[in-house]
Amino acid sequence: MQLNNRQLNVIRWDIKRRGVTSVSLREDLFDHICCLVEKEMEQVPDFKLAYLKVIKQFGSLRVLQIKTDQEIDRSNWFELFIKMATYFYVFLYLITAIIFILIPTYLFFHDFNIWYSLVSLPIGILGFVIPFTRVDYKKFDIIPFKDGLSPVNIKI
Amino acid sequence: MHLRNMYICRMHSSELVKGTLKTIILNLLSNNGKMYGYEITQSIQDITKGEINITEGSLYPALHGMVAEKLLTTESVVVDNRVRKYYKLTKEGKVETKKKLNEFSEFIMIMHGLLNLKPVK
Repeated sequence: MQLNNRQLNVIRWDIKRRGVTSVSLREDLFDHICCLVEKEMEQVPDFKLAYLKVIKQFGSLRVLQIKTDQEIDRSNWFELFIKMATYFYVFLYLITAIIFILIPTYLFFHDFNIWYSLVSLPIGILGFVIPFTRVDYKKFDIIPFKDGLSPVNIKI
Repeated sequence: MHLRNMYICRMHSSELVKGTLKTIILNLLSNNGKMYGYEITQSIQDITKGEINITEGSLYPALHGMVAEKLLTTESVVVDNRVRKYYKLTKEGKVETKKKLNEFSEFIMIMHGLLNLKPVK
């Protein structure tokens, strides 16, 4: 049995009234409750009775909103942590590479030790180039881990 | 009491389901492409013949959490004068599904050995 516009408006208003502040969660709950009410009305074709039965089964929608917010916050904290760790990893890599480039330059100009500088300069250049070999130039993403399991790609 | 019921999936072993809820949802979406909330709960009930009943209080926080983690993405479609939100896996979600299934499979093997389980007749 399909609900009419008036019944849909009642459900929409009641969900908001019960403290569901997120539009996204409200959309989910609205459709879910409508499906359950429609199913319930196949047995008992009384909207009020069917709706009250369904809403009782749901429990507190405000608590559901709080729990959803907590879950989203937890996910965002995790994402933030991974993002910061990935930035730190790239930063560390670049600093190391720059140091490796500076050492031969220092050796060359300070001590004129051509052999040491000839060995360490390619290492420094390689260290500087390797992080950028994983840049997806089409999307301008650095892919920090080779296995692609990282949930975050750094935008540059 | 009903708050407690809201969080815990009503079944004979809710603690086990709580830890595997994400895996269940990811696998369902992997098999069916895109699904909406009510469809997910009904599908789980049908597959398990009513043994596992995921409540809305567990389902939506998990779904929204996975959207925040970018494992899922949503697509809104207007059906019967209302917006229906379909959830589907992202590229990262597909990778995570494989990872979770492998992890769970290994866990089952370990538990099987650890508890010396025999097949249920």
